[in-house]
Amino acid sequence: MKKRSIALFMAMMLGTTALGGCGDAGNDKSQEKSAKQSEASGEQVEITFYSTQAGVDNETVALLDEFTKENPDIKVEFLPCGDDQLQAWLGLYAAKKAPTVALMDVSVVTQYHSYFYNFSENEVPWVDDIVTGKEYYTVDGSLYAIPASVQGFGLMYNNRVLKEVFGEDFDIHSVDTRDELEKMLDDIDASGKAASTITLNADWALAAHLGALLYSGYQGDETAQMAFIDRLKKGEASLADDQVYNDLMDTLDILSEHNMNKADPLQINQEMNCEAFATGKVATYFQGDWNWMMMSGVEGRDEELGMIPLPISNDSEQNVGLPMSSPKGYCIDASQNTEEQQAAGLKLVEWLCNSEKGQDFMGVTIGSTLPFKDVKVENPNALAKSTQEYMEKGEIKDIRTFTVNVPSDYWYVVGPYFQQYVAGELDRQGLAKEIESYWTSLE
Amino acid sequence: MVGNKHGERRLILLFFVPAILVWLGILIVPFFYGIFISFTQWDGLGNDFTFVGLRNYLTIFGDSKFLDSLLKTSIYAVAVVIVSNVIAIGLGLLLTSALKGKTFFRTAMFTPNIIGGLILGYLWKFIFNFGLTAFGKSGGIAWLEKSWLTSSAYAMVAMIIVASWQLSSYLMIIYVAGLANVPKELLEAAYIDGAGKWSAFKHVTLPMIRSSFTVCVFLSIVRCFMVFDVNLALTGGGPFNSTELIALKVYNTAFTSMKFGVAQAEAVVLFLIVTVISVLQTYFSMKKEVKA
Repeated sequence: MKKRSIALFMAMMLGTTALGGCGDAGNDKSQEKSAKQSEASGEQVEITFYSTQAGVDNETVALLDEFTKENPDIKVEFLPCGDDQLQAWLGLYAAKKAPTVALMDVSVVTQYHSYFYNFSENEVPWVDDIVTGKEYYTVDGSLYAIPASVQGFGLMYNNRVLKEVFGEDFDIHSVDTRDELEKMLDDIDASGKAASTITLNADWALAAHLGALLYSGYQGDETAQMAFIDRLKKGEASLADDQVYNDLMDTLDILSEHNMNKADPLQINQEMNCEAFATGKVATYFQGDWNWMMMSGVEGRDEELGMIPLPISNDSEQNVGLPMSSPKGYCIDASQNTEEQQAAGLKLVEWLCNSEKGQDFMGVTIGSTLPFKDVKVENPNALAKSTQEYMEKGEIKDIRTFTVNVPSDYWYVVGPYFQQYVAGELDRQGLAKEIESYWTSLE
Repeated sequence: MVGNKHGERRLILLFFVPAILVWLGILIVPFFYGIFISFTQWDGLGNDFTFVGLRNYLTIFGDSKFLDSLLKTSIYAVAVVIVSNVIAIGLGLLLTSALKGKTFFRTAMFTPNIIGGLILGYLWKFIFNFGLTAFGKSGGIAWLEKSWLTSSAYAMVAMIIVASWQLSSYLMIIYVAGLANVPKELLEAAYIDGAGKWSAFKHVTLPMIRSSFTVCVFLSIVRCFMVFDVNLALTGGGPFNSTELIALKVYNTAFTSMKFGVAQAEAVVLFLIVTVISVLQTYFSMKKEVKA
């Protein structure tokens, strides 16, 4: 009997500990976000913060500790995203543990805005201090997230290498047409140095950055851009006959021709390209200022790094403006969090955006351009300095219409077709047909 | 006596309860919930389900990418099942022969299975992208100079190699157990009767390990159709989605295309296909097993 009791006890322990292991590992306390929890007057309001800014977990925890020190009535628990950002976030909602504040991608805010706090309806005053980026998180006239940063992409250049090839007086800003770009890359190649690189194995980069230019301000103003997308959806647009498409493909051909990894273009990854560019092994690199995070720690990194718009057209006027967008925004959950928690979340978002410590994290540690009027920190990101300059001059190539209206799987479907083109397995007409098929297949 | 029997029955049921609760919570409830979602349009977040009937199932059978992914997975599964089982039987024979340091070799050969699929994928990605290409360039071996992972044909071969490498080490253990149970007297009798090594293996050993064979083929079929972590880490479905096997396709439909109802329908269809194949395979294999 005693043996049976012990065996039964062990069986039940094994079973229930297995159940416990199925729970959320990041949230050991079984907290329920009910009205009763936050109604206890004088107690700390407990909120959670979920961030899709990967690779800076320790820094984020330290940052939130600083916030709690300054706001002792609010306790913030950090929920790291791991590799599977969207899946983990959806899992939190399914488990009724929706994070109070989340730093999420534009597409997520657009799709799920009905679950979020409406900054416009609640007339949050400091929203007026945001210089740019709000348009990415505005749905039907209401703002549902605060842009955390602005990131630009274009032709990054290593000025030390360019000066070695062309002399001290060389001004990269004179490269403002496609022909000028081709001539510059030809001359760099002729000098024995590697002219260009592009991370072709990143299908998301091909479709969402290079590909974004197809739908951008090159097509005209916002109305013209939307009309172009609508024609594609109805099957009324022919990309093969579109000037912007052909300009873009001519430019991609030039970049591919001068690619230092031409022999096996899909082999080299982003980290290796960043290292090569930062140390001057290659003169130019088409991508964006967020690569600073991978470059800043590279040994022997050059200091004179910058970025210009990729000149896809031979009309220099057309090439004015650096494409930039706000990739992630802070949203506050209004579906599972109480009003007290939402108010605490709003305080956290304001602190992250406007306090010196909050700005130091995004503007210095991450190295992103901050889209606010009063920026208290100096950004060490040499590439983001270019983004900042173009933003302050108002020279921004509009990619908002594409970014907000494109479905979330555009890069996943279209990116591989760009890769097939680069690998020589698809011609220009074939690529055009595949992109058109994507748009017409949308419901 | 009757009272004891009743009490014993109750005790047995009580032992089962924790395991059944876990099984229900982790497997059965999500399974039926998933079937329900496959008949709806759902945003993945709230409790707002729009019933759409069989529309999701009709969508996937009209989706050439889904059918293509299913075909690729089938080809991959056939290749990996054959290669991994042949290697596993070979390793099993080696480890049940007169080999010095058997225990050490058994542990060493089991190591690939201990490494998680994601780490395995990244390890082999480095080997294919940089290790083999450096070897190819220095040795002037043309077919190794370019990374296999950047070619749609070779990337599938790479997947098969990695999966077989890992799976064979797991199946080896089952074959070792099966081979150890082959009566030595039968083999000795076969040798006395003039049978050679290959003949003895074919006519004595193989029939005697049919049950191990049934189990190993069943396990390898299931694992091949459900492969995800190695697929994600090694190729990510690339190049050009050419190695996007069915489990990764389901994942991308859900979390990239945000079509949760369609993804769930794909998962249900995958479950049915694997179930039918596994049941048929097990049925026909068990029919041929030698009952001692």
